[in-house]
Amino acid sequence: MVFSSATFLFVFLPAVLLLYFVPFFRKDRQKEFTKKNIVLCLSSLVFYAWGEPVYIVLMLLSIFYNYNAGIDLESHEDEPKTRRRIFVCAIIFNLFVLGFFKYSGFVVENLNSLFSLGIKYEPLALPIGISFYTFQVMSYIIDIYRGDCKTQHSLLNFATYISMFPQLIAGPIVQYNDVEKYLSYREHNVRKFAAGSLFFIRGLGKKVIFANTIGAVYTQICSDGVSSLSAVNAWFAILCYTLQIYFDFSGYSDMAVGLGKMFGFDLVHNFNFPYCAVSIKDFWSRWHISLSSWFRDYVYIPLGGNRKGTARTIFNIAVVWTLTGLWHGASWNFVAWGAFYGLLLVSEKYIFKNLHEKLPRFVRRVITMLIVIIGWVFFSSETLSDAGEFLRAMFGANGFASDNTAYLLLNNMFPFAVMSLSALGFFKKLPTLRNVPLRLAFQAAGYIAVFLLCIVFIVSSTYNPFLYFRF
Amino acid sequence: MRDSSVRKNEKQNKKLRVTAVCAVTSAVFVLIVFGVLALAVATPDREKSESENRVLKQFPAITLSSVFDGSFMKSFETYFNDQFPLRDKLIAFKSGFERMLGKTQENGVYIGKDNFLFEEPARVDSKKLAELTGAVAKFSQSNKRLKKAFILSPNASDILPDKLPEALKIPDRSEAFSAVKKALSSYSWIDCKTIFEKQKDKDALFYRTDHHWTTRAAYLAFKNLAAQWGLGARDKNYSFYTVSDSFRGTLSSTAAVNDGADKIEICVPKKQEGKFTVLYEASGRKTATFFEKDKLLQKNQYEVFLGGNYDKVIISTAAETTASLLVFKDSYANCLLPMLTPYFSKIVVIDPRYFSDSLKGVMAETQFTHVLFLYNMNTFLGDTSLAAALAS
Amino acid sequence: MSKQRFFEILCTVLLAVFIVAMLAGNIGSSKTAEQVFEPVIEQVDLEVLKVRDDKVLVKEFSFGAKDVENVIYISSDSVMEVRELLLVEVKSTEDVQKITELIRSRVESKKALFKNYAPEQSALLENYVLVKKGKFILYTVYDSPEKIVKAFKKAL
Repeated sequence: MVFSSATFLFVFLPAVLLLYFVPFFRKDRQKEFTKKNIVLCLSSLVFYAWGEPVYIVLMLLSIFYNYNAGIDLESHEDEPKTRRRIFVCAIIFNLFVLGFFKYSGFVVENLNSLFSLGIKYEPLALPIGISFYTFQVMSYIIDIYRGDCKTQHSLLNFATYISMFPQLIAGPIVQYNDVEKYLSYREHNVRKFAAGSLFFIRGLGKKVIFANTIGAVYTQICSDGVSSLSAVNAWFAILCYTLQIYFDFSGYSDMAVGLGKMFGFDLVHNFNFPYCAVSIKDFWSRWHISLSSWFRDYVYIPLGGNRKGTARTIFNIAVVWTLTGLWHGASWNFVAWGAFYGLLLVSEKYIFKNLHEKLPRFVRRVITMLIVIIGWVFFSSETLSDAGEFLRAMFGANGFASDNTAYLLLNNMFPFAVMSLSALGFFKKLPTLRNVPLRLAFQAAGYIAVFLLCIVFIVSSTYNPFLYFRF
Repeated sequence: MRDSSVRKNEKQNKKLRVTAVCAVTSAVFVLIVFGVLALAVATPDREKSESENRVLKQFPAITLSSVFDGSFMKSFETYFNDQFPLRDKLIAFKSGFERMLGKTQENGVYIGKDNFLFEEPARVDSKKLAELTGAVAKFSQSNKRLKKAFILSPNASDILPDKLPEALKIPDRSEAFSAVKKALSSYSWIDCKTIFEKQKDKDALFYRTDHHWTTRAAYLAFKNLAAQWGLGARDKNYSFYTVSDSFRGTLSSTAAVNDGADKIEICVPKKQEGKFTVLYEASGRKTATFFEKDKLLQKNQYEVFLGGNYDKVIISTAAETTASLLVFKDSYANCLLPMLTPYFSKIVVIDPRYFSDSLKGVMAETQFTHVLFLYNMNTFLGDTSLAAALAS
Repeated sequence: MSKQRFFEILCTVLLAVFIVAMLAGNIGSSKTAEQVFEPVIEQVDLEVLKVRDDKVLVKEFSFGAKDVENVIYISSDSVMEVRELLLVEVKSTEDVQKITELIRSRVESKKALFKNYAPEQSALLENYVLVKKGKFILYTVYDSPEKIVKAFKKAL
């Protein structure tokens, strides 16, 4: 199920809210809290099974294994060797699950073409959210092993953490440390709920009104094939994609944070106006923050970070960025995309450091954005050669503009302008009312209007008239 | 002392007001979520959608296997979307909203000036076009004794470029028209494009809300055909009647744009009414009219002409002549066929898209004297069945 | 062995079983074409539909009996009847892709073709089912395709 579907909004969500908030045990607060966790956990399983009935088994196995491994690690506190073995086994288990379901097809394909082996292999469908929940579960195991957090003894609480539906299928990647406290106690009140619903509506609007609209423009421009794309069209297309991927992903994260707040959790924010970044490093501290910090905490720093000399730092950066690329998908263009960022970060750190610092802020922002946009070309293409072709089109391989360019720009100018300004944080800088309650009231009214508009957009997206074009 | 207590009071008031706003916000959010659910439960499910002209999904059956393989969930989502309360109104609102923001293209339909809607003109693929015209030319070689004519109607976007949305440039297809004309030199060429372009009232040649030509346009093409074939048709022998003024065609449906409606006219020869039968071969149904009045009550009123498209329709008339006509056509022909009845004793109408019989059989059955091809440019450029039908 | 250790091993074993089961489901069965086709054909109304010959198959789907191991095509020669059933056993799993592509492109063109007939027919076509399992492919347009799919899966 996705948040931006009518079924989620008007069937699943009301059902969960009802079961969650209507008290079953008026007198016993502890029991009532346990009930809340049970509702959250079970509804998350339903949420997951809705799209992937079979793969629920995989998630349950992962939950149960890691729950036991956590306790196992704790009970062998004084035997470093055994602890190490348990830890390594757990990491192998988790990486195997991720590796097998996500990368086996990619590996076999490459082996086949490298050694012309001709292995016949039909890869299984990718389980939704596997990249997210495996990373969450690994953060737990690693933290326990390092002694950075306490073991979770309640299977219910542990399962709630891993399967929690707000962040289950598209993040943010919640580290166990950040939510541990909420699993055993959390407060619910109208302020949190209201803030959560506004956050949710904002995310929904970003996804349904912004991302889907501008995404359709991108698809439309590219529908005739890249080989005939003129430069202006190509630039406009990739700008649309740039907006789409930001609003899509950050919208989803906002919805997750919003839902989390409604149910009493404060989840980490995943985006902080990434398109306002002044450097690549800055960009990655604003884009998909939970992923960057996961790789920082569990790969980069354990490898030694930047404390072991220049050569080692460069190696570490290379490892982290190749993995980041691969995490996004099992395909070479994602690896290239990751490597592209690794390379840029290294050169930013060692080669252009002085030059970069001297440039005016505005120029730095423009340069960063250009790099990010070029990066999206790799990200949006299916293969490396497609990406190359797109880049050539952007630099005029198929002419400067085409017949439909003027119409294309004129027809989509307004949404494009509004979305660009919004992505660049322009609306955040507008003056606001001093009076806090009044400001809140206006805000809330605005958001409710956005919510109604979202419903219109969601329903319209399923408009499917019976066409007669063949006559 | 007093000052600080006042300030404290104010602060507390403010906090209370913030909490109140939050409570109202939460309540409204919850109310919408539950309200829509309640409305969805309370609204009776519809069988069909009038505006989308299709069967709507009904509540899917729950079985163990349909839940396990996920098909129940998929069907349920479709069901819920299809039966969403006020669905039609929300869709119309969205389309209006987008146009307000300056969008002039909805679901691939261009929204032009004066409520004119245009379908995306088909692109010219010269190689494919040459193959197709080659097949038509070949048909002419093997049927030299027949009188042959080709009507290729342009589309609204060819004739009314000034009604297209601002800044939209569409490819000029004049060359494609000339190419077809050149390749089909053995046919009487009905030059609709030139005829239409010379008309004063070009707006009246195409429906605003539909992708067809109007009966007026068809009549112009017919007059030219009659002249070239020497049929001797006169204006005074034909009457026009308006049968509907509430026609919202396929383009209007596709774009979910509902302002503006067209009138549908029919054109009939004065003397011939009631003196012919139309046999729909596939179903065996026989009628004595070209016009299916029931269809005026449904969404797609263009089906008033012949009731839609059929693989093979045989028209037998009381005309005192031995001439008989074979027609290969798309739906543009449907409003033109009645005009032909005074001049042929038998007209066999084949729509190659649905035709799966053998053409040889059809031609052996009847001694045809005339052959007419009638297409519009968009269908002709996208055609994949004519060549196969001609070879069958 | 501690309880935890036992559960860890159990989970690992179950994971292996799960993966093997999923892969096996992906690979297919050792049944013969007759064993698979027979119970599926029983699900369709042979009073209205009938088994068509190779010529019709080639015309409709652009592949024939010689391109595959086994095939049966059931439909009607009436233009207004869109219900049909196609069962294929391919020669090797490499052909599955090719054949399903052919079926898919044919169903798309048929859908487009029927868009101006009655909406009912088009709704049936919209609900078409295409299932592949190992060397077997099932394609059908029917009032309740679920029943046919169920019979197909059971027969494998």
